[in-house]
Amino acid sequence: MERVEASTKKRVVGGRRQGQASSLFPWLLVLPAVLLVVLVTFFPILQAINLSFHQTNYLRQGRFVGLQHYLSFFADPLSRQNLKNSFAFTFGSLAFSLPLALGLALLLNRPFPGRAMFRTILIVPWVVSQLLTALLWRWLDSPPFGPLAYILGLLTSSRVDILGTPDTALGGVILANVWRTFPYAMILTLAALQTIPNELYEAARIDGAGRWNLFRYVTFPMIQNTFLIATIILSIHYFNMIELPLILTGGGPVNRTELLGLRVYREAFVLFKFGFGSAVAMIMFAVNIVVSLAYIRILRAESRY
Amino acid sequence: MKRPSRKSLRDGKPITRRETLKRIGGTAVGLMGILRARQAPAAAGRVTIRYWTWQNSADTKNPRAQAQAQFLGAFRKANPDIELIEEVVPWQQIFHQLLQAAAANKAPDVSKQLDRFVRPLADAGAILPLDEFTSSWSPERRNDYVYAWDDTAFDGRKFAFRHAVRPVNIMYYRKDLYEAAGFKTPPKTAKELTEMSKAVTKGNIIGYIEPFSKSDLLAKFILIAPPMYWTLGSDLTAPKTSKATFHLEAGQKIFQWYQDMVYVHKVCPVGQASMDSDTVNNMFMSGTLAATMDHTSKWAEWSRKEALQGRVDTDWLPNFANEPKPTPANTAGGWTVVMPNGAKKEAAWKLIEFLQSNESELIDAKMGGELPTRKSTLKDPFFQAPEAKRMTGWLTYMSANPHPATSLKIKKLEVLIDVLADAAQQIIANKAEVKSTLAVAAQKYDAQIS
Repeated sequence: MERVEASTKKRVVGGRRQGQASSLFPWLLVLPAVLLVVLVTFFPILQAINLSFHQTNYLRQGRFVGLQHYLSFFADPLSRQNLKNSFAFTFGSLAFSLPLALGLALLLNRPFPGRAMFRTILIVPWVVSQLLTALLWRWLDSPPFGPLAYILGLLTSSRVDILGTPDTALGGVILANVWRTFPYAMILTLAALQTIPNELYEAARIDGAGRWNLFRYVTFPMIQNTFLIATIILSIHYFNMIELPLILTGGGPVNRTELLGLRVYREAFVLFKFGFGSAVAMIMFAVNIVVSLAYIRILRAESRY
Repeated sequence: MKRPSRKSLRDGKPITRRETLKRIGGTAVGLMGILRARQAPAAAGRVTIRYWTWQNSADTKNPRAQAQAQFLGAFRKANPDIELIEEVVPWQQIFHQLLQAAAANKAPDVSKQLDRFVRPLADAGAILPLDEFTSSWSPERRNDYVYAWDDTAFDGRKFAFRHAVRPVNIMYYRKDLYEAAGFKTPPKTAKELTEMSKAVTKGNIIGYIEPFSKSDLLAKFILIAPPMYWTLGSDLTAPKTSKATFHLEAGQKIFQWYQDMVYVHKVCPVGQASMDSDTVNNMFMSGTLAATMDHTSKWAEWSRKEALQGRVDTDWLPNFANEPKPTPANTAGGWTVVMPNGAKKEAAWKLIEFLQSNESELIDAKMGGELPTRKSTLKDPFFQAPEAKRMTGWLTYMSANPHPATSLKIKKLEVLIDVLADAAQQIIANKAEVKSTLAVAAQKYDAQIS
């Protein structure tokens, strides 16, 4: 009995050591990847935070200046313009891309001849990079050469320059952005639509529900979460966008299309004011965190139901 | 009791921890071997140097690129102990990329750079002075250049050599469009430019456009702005204090002219406030723009285009003081070669020296239409031939109408370009009041350089 107990104890003790080693082993395997992610994610963020509190001369860090860059940002009228542009761009793009995505997803959810072909064609803009999108829309909108500018010119009997006119330039950038990004929301919504059981529709029809009520009480509640996720992802993507406005308009005319991300790029990489650029980047980071937390709260509230 | 053994995946069973670690270790060793092999030094006795250029030697349609391919080939032949690696960086990015590369210790050994960015590069410590290589030069050698030695020297140290001389205030005009409007000669003054542009502007055709987009760093305006100011007795900044002077009377006159060209004379579109130089050049080549300003080396490319043959010609920037005399030649706006990385100084200097050699400059002149930097190169019979007549004409104009290249000495030029672009866009797109807008821009610039 003692021998058995002893051998059992030994086995138990040996098993615990073996268990501890087994639980450490997976961590060792993922450690290189984790270190790499920490290096390329957290280190630049910490460096940017550090730079935002210092004066810089080209690429050299100078003296500590505290919150001077942050105060300069909020005192600058251009900063208010940048924030206004960013929010207008984000919400303006959402206002067009989401309804368009939903409408097309609903259409594509119905069987009709050539549905697969249309689905493929409608996804193509999402596959095109921001750079190519910007070059394409620059040509489309170009007053001397662009077909879009030509057609608008015929309709208005005057020379139309969407991207060159302060009042319409942001609209032109939003148009290009919506064209490129609506397929993302469309695909997510379509996937969600296809998970709705037919029985729900049948039951609703038996109860006398019409098309609008079917959509309002069956379809939309079932795809709500997915739609919300698409909204969150797209709004963060829009708020942080740099490439499209940079190539389409360069932020002009008169800074009317200069989004906050583009301001960071210009301050840091064109004017080489890394300290100030880092401060603006931190402000963007803070806005992203606040918006993301708000979205998470909404998602949690929705998931309770 | 014996522990049951685990078997390998090859038998379709779970892999052991030992085998996993062996495989990870083997992969890591293999990767290290590959990385070391890639970093292996060149063959014994050969030095490898990296050269940044914005011209792609493989571009067979661009005469300047073809010239580059030829003279770099000549360098390789003359220096078999040097392996030259060309790296193409877009011209709009080459300044910024070099600053970043220098900070990351990844700078090339030699780089082309726009002359107006040599000063910021020197201020940032991104390029090395070349005095150790030129200190032994004779006065004769130093005076062999058609441009002033000090053009590319700052604080008494020589940082760059010009790679081709390039007067930049050249007006390219469409003879066909001017002749269709009844003009046989190009405009010589701002007033004539205005009147002729008005006459030409009809339907899709526009008489003149000045692009003010920030995206290409005011590529055209920054070349012609200095001579515009010079003819009015002023400059962009004060030479001694470096403070802004672009907002004073001369500047007000110039920007009022731009505003009037949009709203009074109805020649230029409002959209020019956000146009870039590529768009304007495309319009010129397609025949929807009658005149544009650019540098001399565009001639080699444009004159060979089928669509432009016989239709394009050049003259000098019209006189903005409306005086019947030539505008001073602005030679700031061309390319230089600099040494960002001192790791292989001797080999890098050999390339810089070769790029200024008579042989290299002759190739660039014949194939690329670039003006040589050295007087000794001009002694070649090619420059007496009829095909070089235009080029020698430009050189004659430069020596007859010289002016110090003051824009090369501007402090924080990138900031000046930024504030000028903002002011220009306000004046043109928003029809803002010229004097106050320029004054605000001047204050912004002065605050940032102090």
